[in-house]
Amino acid sequence: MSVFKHEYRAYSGPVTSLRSRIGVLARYALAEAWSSKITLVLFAVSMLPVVVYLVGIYLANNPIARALILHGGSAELAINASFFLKVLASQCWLALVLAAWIAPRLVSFDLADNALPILLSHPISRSFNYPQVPPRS
Amino acid sequence: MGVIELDGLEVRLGGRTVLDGLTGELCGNAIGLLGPNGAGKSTLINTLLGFHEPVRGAARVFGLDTRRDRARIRQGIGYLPENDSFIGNMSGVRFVRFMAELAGLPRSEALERAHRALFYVGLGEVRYRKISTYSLGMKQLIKLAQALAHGPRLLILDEPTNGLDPIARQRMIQTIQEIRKEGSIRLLISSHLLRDIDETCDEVLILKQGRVAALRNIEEERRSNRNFIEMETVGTTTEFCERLRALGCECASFPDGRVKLVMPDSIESRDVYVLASENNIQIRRIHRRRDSLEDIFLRAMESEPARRELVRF
Repeated sequence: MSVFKHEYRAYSGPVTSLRSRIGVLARYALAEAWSSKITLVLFAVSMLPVVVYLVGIYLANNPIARALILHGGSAELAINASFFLKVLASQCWLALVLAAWIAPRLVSFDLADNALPILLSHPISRSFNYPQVPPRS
Repeated sequence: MGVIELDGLEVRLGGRTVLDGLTGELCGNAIGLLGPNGAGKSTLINTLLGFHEPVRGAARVFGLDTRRDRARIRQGIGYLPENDSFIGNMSGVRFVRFMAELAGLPRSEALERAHRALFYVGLGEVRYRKISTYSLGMKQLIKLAQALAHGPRLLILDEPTNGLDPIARQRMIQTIQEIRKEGSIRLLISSHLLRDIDETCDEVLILKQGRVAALRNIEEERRSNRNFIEMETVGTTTEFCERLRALGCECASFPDGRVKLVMPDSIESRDVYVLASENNIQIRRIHRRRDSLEDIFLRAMESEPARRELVRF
Protein backbone atom coordinates (compact mmCIF):
# COMPACT_ATOMS: atom_id res chain seq x y z
CA MET A 1 0.00 0.00 0.00
CA SER A 2 1.14 3.53 -0.63
CA VAL A 3 2.11 5.67 2.34
CA PHE A 4 -0.15 8.58 1.48
CA LYS A 5 -3.79 8.73 0.52
CA HIS A 6 -4.58 9.20 -3.14
CA GLU A 7 -7.57 11.30 -4.04
CA TYR A 8 -9.63 11.18 -7.17
CA ARG A 9 -9.33 14.16 -9.49
CA ALA A 10 -11.66 14.85 -12.39
CA TYR A 11 -10.09 15.24 -15.86
CA SER A 12 -10.60 18.51 -17.68
CA GLY A 13 -7.83 18.40 -20.29
CA PRO A 14 -8.06 17.98 -24.08
CA VAL A 15 -9.48 14.84 -25.70
CA THR A 16 -8.50 13.24 -28.99
CA SER A 17 -10.82 13.00 -32.00
CA LEU A 18 -13.12 10.02 -32.51
CA ARG A 19 -11.20 8.95 -35.64
CA SER A 20 -7.86 8.80 -33.88
CA ARG A 21 -9.25 6.21 -31.45
CA ILE A 22 -9.35 3.64 -34.23
CA GLY A 23 -5.61 4.29 -34.45
CA VAL A 24 -5.33 3.48 -30.73
CA LEU A 25 -6.86 0.06 -31.39
CA ALA A 26 -4.46 -0.54 -34.29
CA ARG A 27 -1.43 0.62 -32.27
CA TYR A 28 -2.19 -1.68 -29.34
CA ALA A 29 -2.96 -4.57 -31.73
CA LEU A 30 0.41 -4.15 -33.45
CA ALA A 31 2.21 -3.93 -30.13
CA GLU A 32 0.46 -7.12 -29.06
CA ALA A 33 1.45 -8.87 -32.31
CA TRP A 34 5.13 -7.88 -31.98
CA SER A 35 5.28 -8.85 -28.31
CA SER A 36 5.62 -12.51 -29.33
CA LYS A 37 9.08 -13.86 -30.21
CA ILE A 38 7.51 -16.33 -32.61
CA THR A 39 6.14 -13.38 -34.60
CA LEU A 40 9.65 -11.93 -34.83
CA VAL A 41 11.11 -15.26 -35.95
CA LEU A 42 8.39 -15.77 -38.56
CA PHE A 43 8.88 -12.24 -39.84
CA ALA A 44 12.64 -12.80 -40.12
CA VAL A 45 12.08 -16.11 -41.92
CA SER A 46 9.70 -14.44 -44.37
CA MET A 47 12.49 -11.98 -45.24
CA LEU A 48 14.97 -14.75 -46.16
CA PRO A 49 13.43 -15.68 -49.55
CA VAL A 50 13.40 -12.01 -50.51
CA VAL A 51 17.13 -11.77 -49.79
CA VAL A 52 17.77 -14.93 -51.83
CA TYR A 53 15.74 -13.62 -54.77
CA LEU A 54 17.50 -10.22 -54.60
CA VAL A 55 20.89 -11.97 -54.75
CA GLY A 56 19.58 -13.92 -57.73
CA ILE A 57 18.54 -10.74 -59.55
CA TYR A 58 21.93 -9.21 -58.77
CA LEU A 59 23.81 -12.20 -60.13
CA ALA A 60 21.64 -12.36 -63.21
CA ASN A 61 22.38 -8.74 -64.04
CA ASN A 62 26.05 -8.51 -63.08
CA PRO A 63 28.37 -10.19 -65.66
CA ILE A 64 31.42 -10.07 -63.38
CA ALA A 65 29.66 -11.69 -60.47
CA ARG A 66 28.11 -14.22 -62.81
CA ALA A 67 31.51 -15.07 -64.31
CA LEU A 68 33.06 -15.45 -60.86
CA ILE A 69 30.32 -17.38 -59.12
CA LEU A 70 28.44 -19.19 -61.89
CA HIS A 71 31.38 -19.43 -64.32
CA GLY A 72 29.35 -17.77 -67.07
CA GLY A 73 26.33 -20.05 -66.87
CA SER A 74 23.05 -18.23 -66.20
CA ALA A 75 20.39 -20.59 -67.48
CA GLU A 76 19.00 -21.16 -63.94
CA LEU A 77 18.83 -17.45 -63.29
CA ALA A 78 16.51 -16.18 -65.95
CA ILE A 79 14.71 -13.11 -64.56
CA ASN A 80 11.37 -13.43 -66.23
CA ALA A 81 7.66 -13.78 -65.41
CA SER A 82 8.18 -17.29 -64.06
CA PHE A 83 10.84 -16.00 -61.64
CA PHE A 84 8.54 -13.33 -60.24
CA LEU A 85 5.66 -15.82 -59.99
CA LYS A 86 7.89 -17.97 -57.78
CA VAL A 87 8.72 -14.87 -55.67
CA LEU A 88 5.03 -14.04 -55.32
CA ALA A 89 4.00 -17.63 -54.49
CA SER A 90 6.62 -18.00 -51.77
CA GLN A 91 5.68 -14.61 -50.29
CA CYS A 92 2.01 -15.56 -50.28
CA TRP A 93 2.67 -18.77 -48.36
CA LEU A 94 4.81 -16.94 -45.82
CA ALA A 95 2.19 -14.17 -45.46
CA LEU A 96 -0.45 -16.84 -44.85
CA VAL A 97 1.62 -18.43 -42.09
CA LEU A 98 2.32 -15.03 -40.53
CA ALA A 99 -1.34 -14.00 -40.62
CA ALA A 100 -2.43 -17.39 -39.28
CA TRP A 101 -0.12 -16.86 -36.32
CA ILE A 102 -0.88 -13.17 -35.61
CA ALA A 103 -4.61 -12.82 -36.33
CA PRO A 104 -6.00 -15.27 -33.74
CA ARG A 105 -3.79 -13.71 -31.05
CA LEU A 106 -5.37 -10.31 -31.69
CA VAL A 107 -8.88 -11.52 -30.90
CA SER A 108 -8.32 -14.53 -28.65
CA PHE A 109 -7.14 -12.49 -25.65
CA ASP A 110 -10.17 -10.20 -25.99
CA LEU A 111 -12.56 -13.12 -26.28
CA ALA A 112 -10.93 -15.20 -23.54
CA ASP A 113 -11.59 -12.57 -20.89
CA ASN A 114 -14.80 -11.17 -22.40
CA ALA A 115 -13.23 -7.77 -23.10
CA LEU A 116 -15.78 -6.71 -25.71
CA PRO A 117 -18.33 -5.07 -23.35
CA ILE A 118 -15.64 -2.92 -21.77
CA LEU A 119 -14.06 -2.05 -25.14
CA LEU A 120 -17.39 -1.17 -26.72
CA SER A 121 -18.49 0.96 -23.78
CA HIS A 122 -15.89 3.47 -24.92
CA PRO A 123 -16.61 6.08 -27.58
CA ILE A 124 -14.85 4.43 -30.51
CA SER A 125 -17.34 4.48 -33.36
CA ARG A 126 -20.94 3.58 -34.09
CA SER A 127 -19.75 0.84 -36.43
CA PHE A 128 -18.28 -1.01 -33.45
CA ASN A 129 -21.63 -1.42 -31.70
CA TYR A 130 -23.26 -4.71 -30.87
CA PRO A 131 -25.71 -6.00 -33.49
CA GLN A 132 -28.98 -4.18 -32.92
CA VAL A 133 -32.37 -5.81 -32.53
CA PRO A 134 -34.56 -4.41 -35.33
CA PRO A 135 -37.42 -2.28 -33.95
CA ARG A 136 -40.88 -3.75 -34.27
CA SER A 137 -43.80 -1.66 -35.28
CA MET B 1 -31.95 18.43 -15.74
CA GLY B 2 -31.77 14.93 -14.27
CA VAL B 3 -28.83 12.60 -14.64
CA ILE B 4 -31.01 10.01 -16.38
CA GLU B 5 -34.40 10.65 -17.92
CA LEU B 6 -36.59 7.78 -19.04
CA ASP B 7 -39.56 8.55 -21.22
CA GLY B 8 -41.77 5.51 -21.83
CA LEU B 9 -38.65 3.43 -22.53
CA GLU B 10 -39.46 0.07 -24.07
CA VAL B 11 -36.77 -2.43 -25.04
CA ARG B 12 -37.38 -5.82 -26.64
CA LEU B 13 -34.79 -8.58 -26.81
CA GLY B 14 -35.37 -11.84 -28.62
CA GLY B 15 -39.05 -11.00 -29.11
CA ARG B 16 -39.58 -10.46 -25.36
CA THR B 17 -40.29 -7.09 -23.77
CA VAL B 18 -37.54 -6.64 -21.19
CA LEU B 19 -38.15 -2.98 -20.32
CA ASP B 20 -41.79 -2.02 -20.48
CA GLY B 21 -42.52 1.69 -20.58
CA LEU B 22 -40.04 2.98 -17.99
CA THR B 23 -40.70 6.59 -17.15
CA GLY B 24 -38.93 8.67 -14.56
CA GLU B 25 -36.23 11.20 -13.81
CA LEU B 26 -33.21 10.20 -11.74
CA CYS B 27 -31.48 13.14 -10.13
CA GLY B 28 -29.53 11.75 -7.18
CA ASN B 29 -25.76 11.84 -6.74
CA ALA B 30 -25.74 8.08 -6.25
CA ILE B 31 -28.64 6.20 -7.78
CA GLY B 32 -29.27 2.60 -6.82
CA LEU B 33 -30.82 0.21 -9.31
CA LEU B 34 -32.56 -2.61 -7.49
CA GLY B 35 -34.66 -5.52 -8.55
CA PRO B 36 -34.80 -9.30 -8.59
CA ASN B 37 -32.97 -11.29 -11.26
CA GLY B 38 -34.48 -10.64 -14.68
CA ALA B 39 -36.08 -7.34 -13.65
CA GLY B 40 -34.18 -5.49 -16.40
CA LYS B 41 -31.37 -3.77 -14.48
CA SER B 42 -28.55 -4.78 -16.81
CA THR B 43 -30.72 -4.20 -19.87
CA LEU B 44 -31.39 -0.65 -18.69
CA ILE B 45 -27.65 -0.08 -18.26
CA ASN B 46 -26.92 -1.55 -21.70
CA THR B 47 -29.59 0.70 -23.19
CA LEU B 48 -28.05 3.76 -21.55
CA LEU B 49 -24.69 2.74 -23.05
CA GLY B 50 -26.31 2.39 -26.47
CA PHE B 51 -25.94 -1.40 -26.74
CA HIS B 52 -29.70 -1.88 -27.11
CA GLU B 53 -31.96 0.32 -29.18
CA PRO B 54 -35.34 1.25 -27.64
CA VAL B 55 -38.37 0.05 -29.56
CA ARG B 56 -40.43 2.90 -28.13
CA GLY B 57 -39.77 5.88 -25.93
CA ALA B 58 -36.38 7.36 -25.15
CA ALA B 59 -33.65 7.44 -22.57
CA ARG B 60 -31.44 10.45 -21.99
CA VAL B 61 -28.20 10.75 -20.04
CA PHE B 62 -27.38 14.34 -19.04
CA GLY B 63 -29.94 15.39 -21.65
CA LEU B 64 -28.23 13.41 -24.46
CA ASP B 65 -30.34 10.90 -26.35
CA THR B 66 -29.05 7.31 -26.22
CA ARG B 67 -29.90 6.81 -29.91
CA ARG B 68 -28.40 9.95 -31.42
CA ASP B 69 -25.59 10.89 -29.03
CA ARG B 70 -24.12 7.49 -28.28
CA ALA B 71 -20.47 8.53 -28.63
CA ARG B 72 -20.92 11.68 -26.50
CA ILE B 73 -22.70 9.69 -23.80
CA ARG B 74 -19.95 7.07 -23.75
CA GLN B 75 -17.38 9.84 -23.55
CA GLY B 76 -18.81 10.87 -20.20
CA ILE B 77 -19.49 7.42 -18.78
CA GLY B 78 -17.27 5.02 -16.88
CA TYR B 79 -18.62 1.47 -16.95
CA LEU B 80 -17.84 -1.42 -14.65
CA PRO B 81 -19.46 -4.53 -16.16
CA GLU B 82 -20.98 -7.25 -14.03
CA ASN B 83 -18.87 -10.13 -15.38
CA ASP B 84 -15.16 -10.48 -15.97
CA SER B 85 -14.21 -8.08 -18.74
CA PHE B 86 -10.55 -7.22 -19.30
CA ILE B 87 -7.54 -8.29 -21.34
CA GLY B 88 -5.76 -10.79 -19.12
CA ASN B 89 -2.54 -10.72 -21.14
CA MET B 90 -1.95 -7.03 -20.36
CA SER B 91 -0.44 -5.53 -17.24
CA GLY B 92 -2.80 -3.50 -15.06
CA VAL B 93 -1.33 -0.14 -15.98
CA ARG B 94 -1.23 -0.93 -19.71
CA PHE B 95 -4.87 -2.03 -19.69
CA VAL B 96 -6.09 1.09 -17.85
CA ARG B 97 -3.97 3.29 -20.13
CA PHE B 98 -5.43 1.55 -23.19
CA MET B 99 -8.99 2.16 -21.95
CA ALA B 100 -8.20 5.80 -21.12
CA GLU B 101 -6.79 6.34 -24.62
CA LEU B 102 -9.90 4.76 -26.12
CA ALA B 103 -11.97 7.21 -24.07
CA GLY B 104 -10.08 10.06 -25.73
CA LEU B 105 -7.17 10.94 -23.47
CA PRO B 106 -3.84 11.79 -25.13
CA ARG B 107 -1.09 9.17 -24.63
CA SER B 108 0.90 10.90 -21.89
CA GLU B 109 -2.24 11.99 -20.01
CA ALA B 110 -3.66 8.47 -20.28
CA LEU B 111 -0.51 6.98 -18.75
CA GLU B 112 -0.49 9.48 -15.89
CA ARG B 113 -4.20 9.01 -15.19
CA ALA B 114 -3.82 5.21 -15.34
CA HIS B 115 -1.18 5.31 -12.59
CA ARG B 116 -3.34 7.68 -10.54
CA ALA B 117 -6.48 5.55 -10.95
CA LEU B 118 -4.63 2.38 -9.98
CA PHE B 119 -3.21 3.96 -6.84
CA TYR B 120 -6.63 5.42 -6.05
CA VAL B 121 -8.37 2.04 -6.09
CA GLY B 122 -5.49 0.40 -4.21
CA LEU B 123 -3.77 -1.52 -7.00
CA GLY B 124 -0.67 0.67 -7.14
CA GLU B 125 1.70 -2.04 -5.99
CA VAL B 126 0.49 -4.65 -8.48
CA ARG B 127 0.01 -2.41 -11.50
CA TYR B 128 2.81 -4.05 -13.53
CA ARG B 129 1.48 -7.57 -13.02
CA LYS B 130 -0.59 -9.27 -15.72
CA ILE B 131 -4.31 -8.99 -15.00
CA SER B 132 -4.76 -12.74 -15.45
CA THR B 133 -2.75 -13.22 -12.23
CA TYR B 134 -5.04 -10.92 -10.19
CA SER B 135 -7.49 -12.21 -7.58
CA LEU B 136 -11.24 -11.72 -8.10
CA GLY B 137 -11.26 -8.64 -5.87
CA MET B 138 -8.34 -7.14 -7.80
CA LYS B 139 -10.13 -7.79 -11.08
CA GLN B 140 -13.15 -5.85 -9.81
CA LEU B 141 -10.84 -3.02 -8.78
CA ILE B 142 -9.02 -2.92 -12.14
CA LYS B 143 -12.43 -2.60 -13.82
CA LEU B 144 -13.20 0.27 -11.46
CA ALA B 145 -9.81 1.89 -12.23
CA GLN B 146 -10.41 1.79 -15.99
CA ALA B 147 -13.90 3.25 -15.46
CA LEU B 148 -12.41 6.16 -13.48
CA ALA B 149 -9.25 6.84 -15.47
CA HIS B 150 -10.74 9.15 -18.10
CA GLY B 151 -12.66 11.25 -15.55
CA PRO B 152 -16.26 10.35 -16.36
CA ARG B 153 -19.29 12.40 -15.31
CA LEU B 154 -21.35 9.28 -14.66
CA LEU B 155 -19.99 6.04 -13.27
CA ILE B 156 -22.12 2.97 -13.97
CA LEU B 157 -21.34 0.06 -11.67
CA ASP B 158 -23.08 -3.20 -12.50
CA GLU B 159 -22.95 -5.46 -9.41
CA PRO B 160 -19.65 -3.99 -8.14
CA THR B 161 -19.41 -6.34 -5.14
CA ASN B 162 -20.21 -9.47 -7.13
CA GLY B 163 -18.20 -12.43 -5.82
CA LEU B 164 -16.14 -10.40 -3.35
CA ASP B 165 -15.23 -11.63 0.13
CA PRO B 166 -16.36 -9.42 3.07
CA ILE B 167 -13.06 -7.52 3.29
CA ALA B 168 -12.88 -6.86 -0.46
CA ARG B 169 -16.57 -5.90 -0.44
CA GLN B 170 -15.99 -3.40 2.36
CA ARG B 171 -13.07 -1.93 0.46
CA MET B 172 -15.15 -1.57 -2.69
CA ILE B 173 -18.00 0.07 -0.74
CA GLN B 174 -15.57 2.50 0.90
CA THR B 175 -14.12 3.44 -2.49
CA ILE B 176 -17.60 4.05 -3.89
CA GLN B 177 -18.48 6.18 -0.86
CA GLU B 178 -15.29 8.23 -1.36
CA ILE B 179 -16.13 8.78 -5.04
CA ARG B 180 -19.62 9.88 -4.05
CA LYS B 181 -18.25 12.24 -1.41
CA GLU B 182 -15.78 13.76 -3.88
CA GLY B 183 -18.82 15.01 -5.76
CA SER B 184 -17.69 15.38 -9.39
CA ILE B 185 -19.04 11.99 -10.48
CA ARG B 186 -22.64 10.80 -10.41
CA LEU B 187 -23.09 7.12 -9.69
CA LEU B 188 -25.54 4.53 -11.01
CA ILE B 189 -25.12 1.31 -9.05
CA SER B 190 -26.97 -1.83 -10.02
CA SER B 191 -27.19 -4.55 -7.40
CA HIS B 192 -29.48 -7.13 -5.97
CA LEU B 193 -27.85 -6.64 -2.56
CA LEU B 194 -29.93 -4.17 -0.57
CA ARG B 195 -27.09 -3.52 1.84
CA ASP B 196 -24.77 -2.29 -0.90
CA ILE B 197 -27.36 0.15 -2.18
CA ASP B 198 -28.28 1.22 1.36
CA GLU B 199 -24.65 2.07 2.16
CA THR B 200 -23.81 3.92 -1.04
CA CYS B 201 -26.90 5.49 -2.61
CA ASP B 202 -29.21 8.40 -1.87
CA GLU B 203 -31.87 7.48 -4.43
CA VAL B 204 -33.18 4.11 -5.52
CA LEU B 205 -35.01 2.91 -8.61
CA ILE B 206 -36.64 -0.47 -8.06
CA LEU B 207 -37.52 -2.49 -11.13
CA LYS B 208 -39.91 -5.41 -11.30
CA GLN B 209 -40.69 -7.34 -14.48
CA GLY B 210 -39.22 -4.55 -16.58
CA ARG B 211 -41.35 -1.84 -15.00
CA VAL B 212 -40.76 0.82 -12.38
CA ALA B 213 -41.88 -0.58 -9.02
CA ALA B 214 -40.64 2.36 -6.98
CA LEU B 215 -38.44 5.42 -7.26
CA ARG B 216 -37.54 6.75 -3.83
CA ASN B 217 -35.13 9.13 -2.21
CA ILE B 218 -33.55 6.99 0.51
CA GLU B 219 -32.32 10.00 2.48
CA GLU B 220 -35.81 11.51 2.60
CA GLU B 221 -37.33 8.18 3.58
CA ARG B 222 -34.86 7.94 6.42
CA ARG B 223 -35.52 11.50 7.55
CA SER B 224 -39.29 11.08 7.47
CA ASN B 225 -39.17 9.01 10.69
CA ARG B 226 -42.27 7.10 9.88
CA ASN B 227 -44.09 5.21 12.60
CA PHE B 228 -42.63 1.86 11.78
CA ILE B 229 -43.34 -1.26 13.81
CA GLU B 230 -41.89 -4.74 13.55
CA MET B 231 -43.66 -7.62 15.31
CA GLU B 232 -42.94 -11.27 15.87
CA THR B 233 -46.19 -13.18 15.96
CA VAL B 234 -47.61 -16.68 16.26
CA GLY B 235 -50.68 -17.59 14.21
CA THR B 236 -51.96 -17.03 10.68
CA THR B 237 -51.23 -13.43 9.81
CA THR B 238 -52.99 -13.16 6.42
CA GLU B 239 -56.33 -11.87 7.71
CA PHE B 240 -54.62 -9.83 10.42
CA CYS B 241 -52.61 -8.01 7.76
CA GLU B 242 -55.65 -7.44 5.58
CA ARG B 243 -57.50 -5.84 8.49
CA LEU B 244 -54.47 -3.68 9.28
CA ARG B 245 -54.43 -2.51 5.66
CA ALA B 246 -58.13 -1.77 5.90
CA LEU B 247 -57.30 0.51 8.83
CA GLY B 248 -54.85 2.40 6.62
CA CYS B 249 -51.56 0.73 7.62
CA GLU B 250 -48.91 -0.32 5.12
CA CYS B 251 -48.22 -3.91 6.03
CA ALA B 252 -45.85 -6.70 4.95
CA SER B 253 -45.91 -10.20 6.41
CA PHE B 254 -43.20 -12.87 6.28
CA PRO B 255 -43.43 -16.68 6.47
CA ASP B 256 -41.58 -16.81 9.81
CA GLY B 257 -44.37 -14.82 11.50
CA ARG B 258 -42.71 -11.42 11.28
CA VAL B 259 -45.04 -8.56 10.43
CA LYS B 260 -43.81 -5.10 9.49
CA LEU B 261 -46.19 -2.19 9.35
CA VAL B 262 -46.17 1.56 8.94
CA MET B 263 -48.93 3.12 11.02
CA PRO B 264 -50.60 6.38 10.06
CA ASP B 265 -50.98 8.98 12.84
CA SER B 266 -54.71 8.20 13.20
CA ILE B 267 -53.99 4.65 14.41
CA GLU B 268 -52.83 3.88 17.93
CA SER B 269 -50.86 0.89 19.15
CA ARG B 270 -53.91 -0.28 21.08
CA ASP B 271 -55.79 -0.81 17.80
CA VAL B 272 -53.11 -3.24 16.68
CA TYR B 273 -53.38 -5.24 19.91
CA VAL B 274 -57.19 -5.37 19.57
CA LEU B 275 -56.95 -6.60 15.98
CA ALA B 276 -54.38 -9.22 16.97
CA SER B 277 -56.64 -10.46 19.73
CA GLU B 278 -59.65 -10.65 17.40
CA ASN B 279 -57.61 -12.72 14.90
CA ASN B 280 -56.09 -15.04 17.51
CA ILE B 281 -52.61 -13.70 16.88
CA GLN B 282 -50.07 -13.83 19.68
CA ILE B 283 -47.65 -10.93 19.61
CA ARG B 284 -44.41 -12.26 21.09
CA ARG B 285 -42.24 -9.26 20.43
CA ILE B 286 -42.79 -5.73 19.16
CA HIS B 287 -40.44 -2.88 18.51
CA ARG B 288 -40.45 0.41 16.69
CA ARG B 289 -37.72 1.17 14.21
CA ARG B 290 -36.93 3.38 11.26
CA ASP B 291 -37.97 2.48 7.73
CA SER B 292 -35.19 0.57 5.96
CA LEU B 293 -34.41 0.00 2.31
CA GLU B 294 -35.49 -3.60 2.80
CA ASP B 295 -38.99 -2.41 3.66
CA ILE B 296 -39.11 -0.05 0.68
CA PHE B 297 -38.01 -2.93 -1.52
CA LEU B 298 -40.50 -5.42 -0.08
CA ARG B 299 -43.39 -3.00 -0.45
CA ALA B 300 -42.34 -2.34 -4.02
CA MET B 301 -42.22 -6.06 -4.73
CA GLU B 302 -45.71 -6.56 -3.30
CA SER B 303 -47.28 -3.68 -5.23
CA GLU B 304 -48.20 -3.77 -8.92
CA PRO B 305 -45.42 -2.09 -10.93
CA ALA B 306 -46.29 1.21 -12.57
CA ARG B 307 -46.24 1.64 -16.34
CA ARG B 308 -45.93 4.95 -18.12
CA GLU B 309 -46.38 6.90 -14.91
CA LEU B 310 -44.10 9.82 -14.29
CA VAL B 311 -42.17 9.38 -11.08
CA ARG B 312 -40.18 12.43 -10.16
CA PHE B 313 -38.34 14.05 -7.28
